[in-house]
Amino acid sequence: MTAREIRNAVYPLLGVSFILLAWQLYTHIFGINRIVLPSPFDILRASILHWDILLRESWPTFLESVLGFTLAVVIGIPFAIGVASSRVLNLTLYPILIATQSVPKVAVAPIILVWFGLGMQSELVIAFLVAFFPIVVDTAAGIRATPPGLLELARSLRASSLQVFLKIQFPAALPFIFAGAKVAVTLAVIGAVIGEFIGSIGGWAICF
Amino acid sequence: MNRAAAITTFLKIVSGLIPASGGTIQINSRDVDEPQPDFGIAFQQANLMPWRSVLDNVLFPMEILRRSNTAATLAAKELLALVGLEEFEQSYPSQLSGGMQQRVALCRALIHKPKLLLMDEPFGALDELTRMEMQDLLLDIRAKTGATVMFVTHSISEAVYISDFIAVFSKRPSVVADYIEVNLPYPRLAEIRYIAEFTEIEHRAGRALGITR
Repeated sequence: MTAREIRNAVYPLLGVSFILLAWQLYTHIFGINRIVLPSPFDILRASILHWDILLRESWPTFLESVLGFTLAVVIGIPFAIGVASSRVLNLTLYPILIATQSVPKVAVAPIILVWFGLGMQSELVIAFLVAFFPIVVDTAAGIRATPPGLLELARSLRASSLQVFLKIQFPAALPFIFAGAKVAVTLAVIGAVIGEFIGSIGGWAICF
Repeated sequence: MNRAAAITTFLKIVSGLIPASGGTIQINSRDVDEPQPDFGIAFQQANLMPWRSVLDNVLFPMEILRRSNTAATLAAKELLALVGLEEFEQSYPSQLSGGMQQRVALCRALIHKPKLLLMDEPFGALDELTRMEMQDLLLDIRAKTGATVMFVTHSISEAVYISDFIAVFSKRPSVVADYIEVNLPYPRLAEIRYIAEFTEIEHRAGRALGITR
């Protein structure tokens, strides 16, 4: 291991240990009720004690988030491409998307439960709904942010729309798409757990 | 519209990228109203694709024209060697200096062997010394490829040094204020910048621009 690799491993560990230590000391010194804020040690003990439930219930949550996220990517990216490349689609669909996004997902979660029933499918839909938005917005922004000089170059060579998209717009949008995906993947987990809280037969939420 | 914007617009009309609001553009008795595959363009920004290596950037026009093959790759390597970048084929644009990026853009503009090369202030963002090197390089490439070059610049000495003919655009309204034939001998070497004829042409262009009397 080089000095750099050691540094890359040591500093993050140092950061985490510091936070955990401060947390432990805080709950200990001020005698915080463990219902209000359990210490890291309490959490560790409980996790070891109930590891079988936690592990069993992790699987549905994991599956819901991953599938919800994947669905958001598979539907969101083509949707964003349509919105970014067609003025008509943009004017027709984008305002609706923005408007629906202002509705809190927690508020619509019960009705989604009514539609899709108890079980994984409802949580999956909620995970999909929260992950969809950042992917669409970032992908569309990325495609629109393609340097105009590159588009001009392509046009000067009479490139077809497909060539322009595959060789210029899509690669140019990739950093944006990944930024959106990073936000979306964390939101998908939250979405899945929200769904589980509202009504569920499995997953992390029932452990609480 | 100021002069720089007017000339850029003019060059884009010549390249067929934007339609003329009046009149027609004819090149070799061919009407230009859409982009021509046998034109090459290079603008002030190098506009390289950061996700492609230098070699792949140069080959981009060949991909669009569906002419990428081993011969094209060899031609790209030759061009890169001509501009002194043979060691940077596999580098990425972010690893190159501004002058090197502009040289890659020049290779990309030349890869499909255009008959007309349109350049809009391609050396405008470079420092003076790099700029002079690039001018020599352009003269060299023009001699080797035989392409006609239409070059926009705001530097009078640059215009005189590289041109056979100079069209001077006036300010508002932008019309051709003077059309100057440059009869300086080839090969053009840096010393030519200091001879009397060179200065005379510079002076004449300056008068047409309204900056000297």
